[in-house]
Amino acid sequence: MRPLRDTDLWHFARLRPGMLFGLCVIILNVCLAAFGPAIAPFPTQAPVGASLVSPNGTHWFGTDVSGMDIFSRVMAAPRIDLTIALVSTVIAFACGVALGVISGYFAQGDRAGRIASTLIMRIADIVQAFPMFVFALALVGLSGPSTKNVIIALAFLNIPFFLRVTRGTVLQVRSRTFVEAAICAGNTSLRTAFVHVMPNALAPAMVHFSTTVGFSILLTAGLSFVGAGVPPPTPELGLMIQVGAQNMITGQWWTALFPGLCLAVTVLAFSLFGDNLRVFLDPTNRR
Amino acid sequence: MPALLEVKDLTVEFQGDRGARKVLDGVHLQVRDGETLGIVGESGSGKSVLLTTIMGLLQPPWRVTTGQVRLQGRELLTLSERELGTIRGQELGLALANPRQRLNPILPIGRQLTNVLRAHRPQRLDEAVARAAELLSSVGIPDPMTRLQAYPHELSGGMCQRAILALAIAHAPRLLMVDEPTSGLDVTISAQILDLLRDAVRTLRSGLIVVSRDLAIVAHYCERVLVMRGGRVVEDAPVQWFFAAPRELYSRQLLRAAAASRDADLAEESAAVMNRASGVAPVLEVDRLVKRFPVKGGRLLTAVNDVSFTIGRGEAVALVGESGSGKTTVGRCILRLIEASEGTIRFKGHDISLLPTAQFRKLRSRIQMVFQDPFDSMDSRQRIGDAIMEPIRLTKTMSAGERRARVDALLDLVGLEHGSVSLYPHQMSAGQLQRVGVARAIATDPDLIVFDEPTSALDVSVRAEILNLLRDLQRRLGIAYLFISHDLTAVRRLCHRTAVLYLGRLVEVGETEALFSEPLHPYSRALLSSVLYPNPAQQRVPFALQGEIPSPINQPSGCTLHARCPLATEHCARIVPELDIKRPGRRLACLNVSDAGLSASDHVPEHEGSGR
Repeated sequence: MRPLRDTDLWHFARLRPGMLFGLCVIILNVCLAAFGPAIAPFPTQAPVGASLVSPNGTHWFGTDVSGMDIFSRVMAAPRIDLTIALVSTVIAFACGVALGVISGYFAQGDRAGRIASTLIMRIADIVQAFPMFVFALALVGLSGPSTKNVIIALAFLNIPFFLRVTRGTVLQVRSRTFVEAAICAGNTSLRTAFVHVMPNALAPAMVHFSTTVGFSILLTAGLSFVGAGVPPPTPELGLMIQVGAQNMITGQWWTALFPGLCLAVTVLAFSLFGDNLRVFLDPTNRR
Repeated sequence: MPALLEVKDLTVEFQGDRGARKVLDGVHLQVRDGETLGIVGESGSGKSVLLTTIMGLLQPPWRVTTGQVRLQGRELLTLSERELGTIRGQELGLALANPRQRLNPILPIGRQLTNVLRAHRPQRLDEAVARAAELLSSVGIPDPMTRLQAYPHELSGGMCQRAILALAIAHAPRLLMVDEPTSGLDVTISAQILDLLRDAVRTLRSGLIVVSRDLAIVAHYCERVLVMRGGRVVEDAPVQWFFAAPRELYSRQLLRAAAASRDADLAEESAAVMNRASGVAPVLEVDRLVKRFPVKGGRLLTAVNDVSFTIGRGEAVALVGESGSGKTTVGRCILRLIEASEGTIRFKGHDISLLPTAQFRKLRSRIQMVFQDPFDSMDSRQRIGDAIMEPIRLTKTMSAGERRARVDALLDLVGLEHGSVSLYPHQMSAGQLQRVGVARAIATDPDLIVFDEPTSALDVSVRAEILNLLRDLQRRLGIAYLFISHDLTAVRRLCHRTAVLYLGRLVEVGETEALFSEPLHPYSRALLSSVLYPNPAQQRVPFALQGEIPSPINQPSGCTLHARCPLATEHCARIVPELDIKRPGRRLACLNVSDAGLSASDHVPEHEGSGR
């Protein structure tokens, strides 16, 4: 990526607290995803003490109803949450951008191209109109709760967003004369679309990527909360909040609060990072 | 007498990431009452910043470091924003380039005018509306009461520029400043706008500053000229002296670049080219080409109507006309970037208009194109070397080493350094990029290159360099050119033959020099008489058409020019004139210019219908 090399991302981030915060939390998340379960003070999927111990020196975030250490589970959670969010977003990005390039590039082409383009958009409409939670529940109902199903459901949900954002940019880029120059140079339509148009239309989708990862974490948790996500007792933020929510009412506030806070901070970090990335990638916003 | 405007030792800095840079450096200038000053300079010379500073509109990161700007003895730089507000619009009028962008797109122009009128002088709305209508009619907008309700997008570029002028002169300012008053406008409209501007300033008896990169405008409309370069004033002289004997080297370079000196050998060469071409099949034969576009409401817009012409081997043919005449559409049809609706296009005798796209792609190496905007026509993520190599790689079989050698040879040919291959487009200047565009077009040894306004986005001196390059390449490589342009001085310099297009129809085709020195068709006469040359002594014989080019959706009946043509008779509204040979080497579509004997008479003939 040329814009990243032109100016130092770090220099840019240093002047923006939001960007810096986002970057730090994301790096922390990635580290926890890699080493979290290994460095956690207690096993993450087994009872290690009494049920519902309030936060103390041993169990910093307390324990849940089955006696598992919440701090250790929170440390282990990014491995599952971040993986699901990342994998599903990468799939959505790849499919969404490819379809977006095709539907945008051929929107003003010959008859067959126009039909393909319209077809893609209508299918995207249908997918977006379908309630995500119903879709995930149906999938779980068919083949049982599993990480794979969550990834499929999330990817499916996110494809139309990447598609639309890419299509919009492609339509703009398509009208620039270098596209005609590429055709004159002897490129086929597909080669022009993917070699020349796509790299010039990626920036919005890239910005969207970071925000989508954040919201995918939120949705993963949401799916677990309604029982359509990963199966218990996996250390996953949504599951922990769901289990903890029942104890919140009886006064054990720590059970849901700490996982909830972690979730909020993570989603916010990805959002802030995404917003600042847009400014960073857009040369007209900088001097 | 104190000067109307006096700028002394003005220095403006740009505060960037890498420290401050001077964009204006010790600028001195004076404008007296009723005087017209022309400021010329190439892009980056600081002329627009100068105007902005005088208006007090300078924003960070630009900053005035030293200097004075006095209007009628009053220092402007130290005034508060509030005091400036009363001066702007009342004493100082500003009309900037790109008229369409300067108007608020969501307000009718009437509202924009009344807002300006009422901002400075409180008045009732109906008074303001009446005054606005008056202003519009004073800038030559017909039917002003209806036009007051028009939104900017409903007006043509020329009309928008008139509206901008109306805004600028709304309060009869003491000093009017216009930035590139004709950029983006056609020659015929430019002439009208400039005449209008001159008349407006004369009636108001105010001072005028015209900023332009076009020396011809300065030569004809200004009394004094100020040459700027890199934020400094290079020369400040009365127009007559300046054009007769410029003192500074840079001024001489500018003048030489702008002069439309035609190579003497072009005429001889053109005869030779035609002789050579007579035996073999021409490179390109366009026969009765028609292109229609569907528009909203199920109607058809006929952009190109029944156009036929040929281009011989190694011949340069120009296609000229105002915007909306369909000249670019012709070029795009030939390259199959869009499909023609009717007609045939033969390339070296073979019909290419019906070839399947896959087969035509193999022919791409034979027909190439150079585009108008050098930045826009380059993929900004592709290195220069790859851009030049791409057509070779896709259409020829060459080893990687051969390809690299070919790219180096091409760079030599267009006058770029070999090191440029690793650069990205944004690291090059517009002129260099246009050279890359040319290199890319000649990379595959084509037989025909279509140039779509290759110089209109370039500065004067760069334009001259590119034209020289094109001329040189044509002589050395013998490639046929189709040169689409509204830059008539460039056409005269480069092309053997010229075809004039009006509303999608060819109206006159002939040998360039003969056509330029004696245009026969009324439209060609109007077009050529509005061309300004950078020479104040040039005598313009005005041959004006009425109004503006009509919309191609509602084409007039008969001869499409009849409603604007001073020679029109009642036949013209009914009969569509054919493009006939009216004298050797000249084809013409007009009922009223009948044969060789009648040469461009200035009187209106009573009845000259040839009765076909």
